[in-house]
Amino acid sequence: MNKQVGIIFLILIFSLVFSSCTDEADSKKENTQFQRQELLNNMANNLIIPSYNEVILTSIELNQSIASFSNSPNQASLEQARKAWKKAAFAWQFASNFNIGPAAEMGIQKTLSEEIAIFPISKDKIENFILAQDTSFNNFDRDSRGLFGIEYLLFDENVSDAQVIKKFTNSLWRKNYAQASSHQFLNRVSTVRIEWNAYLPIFIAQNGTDIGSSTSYLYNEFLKSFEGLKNFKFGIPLGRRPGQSSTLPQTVEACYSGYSTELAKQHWKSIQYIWDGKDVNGMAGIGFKEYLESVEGGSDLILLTQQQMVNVQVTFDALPDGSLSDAIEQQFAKPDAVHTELQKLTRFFKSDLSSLIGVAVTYSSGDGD
Amino acid sequence: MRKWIKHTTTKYIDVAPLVTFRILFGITTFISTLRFLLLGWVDLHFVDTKVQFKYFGFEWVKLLPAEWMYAIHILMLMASIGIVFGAFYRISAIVFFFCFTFCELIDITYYLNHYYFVSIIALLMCLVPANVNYALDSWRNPTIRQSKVPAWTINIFKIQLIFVYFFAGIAKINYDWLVEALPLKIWLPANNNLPLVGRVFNYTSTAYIFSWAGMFFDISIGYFLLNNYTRIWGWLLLVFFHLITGLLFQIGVFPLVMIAVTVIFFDNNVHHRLQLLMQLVFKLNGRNEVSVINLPYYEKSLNKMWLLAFFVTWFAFHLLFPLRYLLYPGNLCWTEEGYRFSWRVMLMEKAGTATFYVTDDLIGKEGVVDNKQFLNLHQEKQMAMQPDLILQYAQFLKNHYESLGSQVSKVRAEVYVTLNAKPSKLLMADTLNLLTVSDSWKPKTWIFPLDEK
Repeated sequence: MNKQVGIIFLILIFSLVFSSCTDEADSKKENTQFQRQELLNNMANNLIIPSYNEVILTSIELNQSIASFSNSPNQASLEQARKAWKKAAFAWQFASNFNIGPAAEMGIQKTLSEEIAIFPISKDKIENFILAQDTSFNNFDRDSRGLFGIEYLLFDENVSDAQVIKKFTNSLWRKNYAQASSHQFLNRVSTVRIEWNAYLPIFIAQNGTDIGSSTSYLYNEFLKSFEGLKNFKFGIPLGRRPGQSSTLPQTVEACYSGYSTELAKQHWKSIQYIWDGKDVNGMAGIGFKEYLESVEGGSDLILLTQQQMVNVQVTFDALPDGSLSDAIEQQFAKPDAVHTELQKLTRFFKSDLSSLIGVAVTYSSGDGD
Repeated sequence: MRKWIKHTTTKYIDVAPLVTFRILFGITTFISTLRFLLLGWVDLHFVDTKVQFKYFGFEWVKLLPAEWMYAIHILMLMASIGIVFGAFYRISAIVFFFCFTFCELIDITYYLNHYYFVSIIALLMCLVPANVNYALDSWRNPTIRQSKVPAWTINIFKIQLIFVYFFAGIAKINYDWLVEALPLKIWLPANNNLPLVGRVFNYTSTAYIFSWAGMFFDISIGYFLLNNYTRIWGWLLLVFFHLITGLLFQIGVFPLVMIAVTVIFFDNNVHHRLQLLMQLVFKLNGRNEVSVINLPYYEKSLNKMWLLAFFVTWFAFHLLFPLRYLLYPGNLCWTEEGYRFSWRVMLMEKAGTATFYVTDDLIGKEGVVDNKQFLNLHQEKQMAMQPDLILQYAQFLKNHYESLGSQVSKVRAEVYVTLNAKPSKLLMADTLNLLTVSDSWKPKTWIFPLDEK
């Protein structure tokens, strides 16, 4: 008796498991099959690589204009250099979302963003290196160079254009430091871009959802970038951390040039592009949104997320272009509203999205069965 | 009945299954500890950590300095080797049990059912004479050599294993798992890139079949393994089952552990053959055959009544503790009251976003916490959906900011949790001052019920 019951039961389970391998042909409902490979392909070829290309193009121009400003410091060449910087800083907002593969942290080298675009920078360190005639960058003071180090040199703090020009005219090492900084910026981005050639097939081939898969890298960086926008570009300058008794307007990104608000808006745009899977020119493609359309509970989440994205957009639109520092000091409620609405968006990007697409967030093992 | 009890407890049976069990368990703990070291998890879990979440009642377990944490892991490796070879066996088993359990108790965010399982088995290993044969101990000291041991020394492991599978099985009998095929409906399509089988995971019917098969498997596998006729097929099914889950999910060494330890169910012939194979491969001397059972050393060392009392309590605990969730109102997966230590493995897809607000009376302002400042990704992920950990973190934040000179009167949190792909919901009132709530075994009435808006 025991024997028969046992064997029948076993056969039942075996057949349950194996039948799943054979019912492909039958007409049971299939989820809209989502190809992560297409998402990765679209992201890499239409967004990530073109973003780096754009940064390289603009920073070549930046290099040239800083060189000519150094050769003959005058109002025209200064304006030229500043214009070039603005372009590069705008292009950078897109590229800053993808600290993966060649741009990821490796050994003592930090992520590309941390290596070449840290903010706030330390003007004291920059002035000290210039005084010491040291342009080697052989140190870990990453806040003494990069995109926002160049910004400081070109825009300076509370001085007239004439004085900026004078400072350059009178200091060979100020010129050298500015040129070395823009070289370094271009070099680092170019290296990453070149390494992407070899990384691209790997990126597309690692199409799982486990840790180490490209989707998980992409997702984790997307989230990090979003939280960086919320916490570092708004939260801290707004004085929103516990124990912060006052605002810290000088800690915004790009506090010397006065483009901080526009750059934040550009950053927000890049977040939306990744969500929608748009290419650099804004043409539709496959992104996280389309991925969600294929999974359980996905359409509800898309609806809720996009509603909140509209709310974020409204607060960004209400924020006048120009200096975010000034906005924080003079019309606190407007940048604060952006922070509040970004906060409300967080859960959709953070836990809901990752949970629904089943992407791994950490290395640690889950609970086994 | 009396006969059956005697048969399964005090009757002397061949020691072979216990020996195999000892060797395989030692090998898996060795691999598991080595893997932990090589992956750099000692640093990740025990060195680069600013906050440790505590087990209720074990708040006194404190992190040791980095070199000590490494020393403990090295000690575990050595103890594992001791277990494999049956060398200084009792000491090895005790050392392993304490080191392993200590490491687990440091931070509850790393709790896994299979770590709990290893702790339990390690404790039981301390009580059995697994070194009386095929061991360096019995080779050095022939007076302890035995070819037979009391049946209970083997059966306790079988019972423990059956408990694990059975409770894992009944945990799967719930609406989401069986009727909605959740969370497998989420997890399987996430693996649709696997070679050959990947495509199959796009079908919702696959999720249903896996859900039901998994439930039947867990509930009945204990019976298959006990039954002589079905054992080999049951075990092969088990191997298949664990390999599949190992392939699909990020669950580390657990499949390997379960495949290894369930070998204990096989009958003596299988174990003798395995041991013969081992002799041939490692060119060992013949089996340490002792034909006469003379004064089993084991019975002298442990009092029978004491043992009986211990095991009655032990198994009563393991039978009842996983069922404690019945005493709590509300949805178990949502409140997590009675969730841990109950063999609920890969049962739900749950994630949360927890944003903490700290009110500083000195500056009269409320600030938002950036969790990344204090927690690693794993800790944050676990904390954000488990009510008791949310309380612990609130307390930590109060202490932290007060040490920086703030005067903290209130910590509140906005915790949105999504369970099995449902839209995320507030776990509790986002105005609640978490400092006024203390954790206990009582129902957590401050948690919002799942089914109400």
